[in-house]
Amino acid sequence: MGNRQAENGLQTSGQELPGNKGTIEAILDLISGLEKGLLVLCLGFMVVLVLVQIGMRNFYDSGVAGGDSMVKHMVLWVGFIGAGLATRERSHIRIDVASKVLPKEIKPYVQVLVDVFSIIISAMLVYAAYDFVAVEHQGRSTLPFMDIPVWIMQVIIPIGFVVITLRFAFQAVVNLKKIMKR
Amino acid sequence: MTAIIIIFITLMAFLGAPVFIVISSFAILGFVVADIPIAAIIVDIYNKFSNTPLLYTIPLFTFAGYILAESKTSVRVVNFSKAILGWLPGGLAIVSLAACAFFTAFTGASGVTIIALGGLLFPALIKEKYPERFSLGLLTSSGSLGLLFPPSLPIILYGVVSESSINKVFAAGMVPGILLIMLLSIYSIFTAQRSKSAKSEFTWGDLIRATNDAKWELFIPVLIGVGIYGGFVTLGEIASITIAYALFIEVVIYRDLPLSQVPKVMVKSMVLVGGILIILGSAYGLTNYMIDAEVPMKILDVMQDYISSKFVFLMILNIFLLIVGCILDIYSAILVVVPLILPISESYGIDPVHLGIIFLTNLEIGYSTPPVGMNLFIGSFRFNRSVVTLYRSTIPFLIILFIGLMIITYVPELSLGLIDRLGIR
Repeated sequence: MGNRQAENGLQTSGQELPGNKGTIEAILDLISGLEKGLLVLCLGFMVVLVLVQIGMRNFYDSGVAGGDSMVKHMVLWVGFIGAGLATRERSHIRIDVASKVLPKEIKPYVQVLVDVFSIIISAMLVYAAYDFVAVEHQGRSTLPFMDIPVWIMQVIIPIGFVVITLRFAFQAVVNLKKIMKR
Repeated sequence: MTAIIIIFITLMAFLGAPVFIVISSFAILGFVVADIPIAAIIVDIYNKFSNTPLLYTIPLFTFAGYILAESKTSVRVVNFSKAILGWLPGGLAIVSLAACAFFTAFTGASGVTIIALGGLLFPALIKEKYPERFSLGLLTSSGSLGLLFPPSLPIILYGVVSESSINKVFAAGMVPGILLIMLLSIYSIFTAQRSKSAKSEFTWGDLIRATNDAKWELFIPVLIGVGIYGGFVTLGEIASITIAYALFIEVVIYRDLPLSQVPKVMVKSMVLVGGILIILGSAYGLTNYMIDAEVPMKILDVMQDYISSKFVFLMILNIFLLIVGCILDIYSAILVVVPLILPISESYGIDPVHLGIIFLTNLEIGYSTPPVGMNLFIGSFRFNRSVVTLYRSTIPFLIILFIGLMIITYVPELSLGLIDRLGIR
């Protein structure tokens, strides 16, 4: 159960390197700003939508058209954006027995190996998610909520996996640099 | 070839690859071997997210819990518990148990309890002459106490995954949860008497003052209880009302949380939620594959050759879950293991709701068991002691929790009695 989320607020968010910021890092910083803003919007929208629905049901005996399914799609957004940020903070849940028993010298190598593995798998998920959304895009179905095309709500899945893949790649580079320096 | 890949993925898991990556890689492997396009994994993820009615309560309750965790709720709850329970022998230890349980119910045993309450209670316990090792063990193992009470994240997650009535699961957790607190309280009373710990005087003045201070927060459990069983609103609606209420009292009444900090709290809580939901997504892909491949049925066939009695099955189940709890965190365990053992235990005549309580109790213990119990590491970090010291400190508490587990396992009425008596559906 090596789980790092609890230490979230206490550890610095993982990946700050001393010295000048690289381009990738600048891009990732920009993305994380966007993610945080979007996350606050989505969660806020969810809460307000649910509250509005309570009000409408009790006072006017009606509801927001498609409100329920919109809330569920917001969970998808909140989940994937949150997961992207969790990758940034290295706070994904891991089993992580090894980092507690392995000798210090080989830890960075193991880290790079795990990073590369993570990149490969998340890249495959990008491909799978792209495939999925492409098919849905052709289907042209819409949500009952304001007739939003379903694929627009789904597009966060491939985007989320792209961001996760980029972050794993960035971490791999950081860890590789650490090895090179020695 | 497949076998080599499986071994490699398992190795990656133990070397620290994120759990969602590990689960996804097994799912990808399964689909590739079965010659199904891997986009099917995403179909499963999307369908589950867009069709599960309870899922949206997870981000909402977590956000509500974080609002409380980021305010001075912990201080007020501790003061209140102290005014009402502090005069008992073992008073402060019992206060710690109650406050930790309250906090964990809202923050979902994510370590927030130890972080928020540990620093407050540890010096206080030492000051009242509780042995250091006892205090460490108490606070570390209490970091997951309370996850049997609504609206804790693991219990909602179990409701989502097992597709059982969430109101039943909530009701089922109450008595077993109280039982665990009582067992630990008895041990605390004995320790307090042996070590001649101090206790505080009971005064009405203190009680009235502490109640008055904490009254807005003490109303939250009432709000949730009435909401769930009153039948006017859905669980998700209660969650949203709780958020609105918690924001109002912490920002406007107590002024603990400046409005400008609220977005930060939102992000912080959603990073935790994102980490859980992405495992949930990948686990659906994998479990759908395993259920298609009839994995639970195959395990069941083998088991039925060796195990015929419910009694023995429950024993094996507990041993298995304790091992799972030592390796996996509670969220991954619920998401991956529950879909596998649910059909098996149903065929042994175990109520899915009772199974949930057994499952969660096991995982609660797993939080504090070596080698990788999360509470141990957070405790070690928080109290600045070596993990080995914490291993030793928690042993008596683990034994007591284990006794509680046995009672909960073999007396199903504890979990199911309330449901029958109150006619909850």
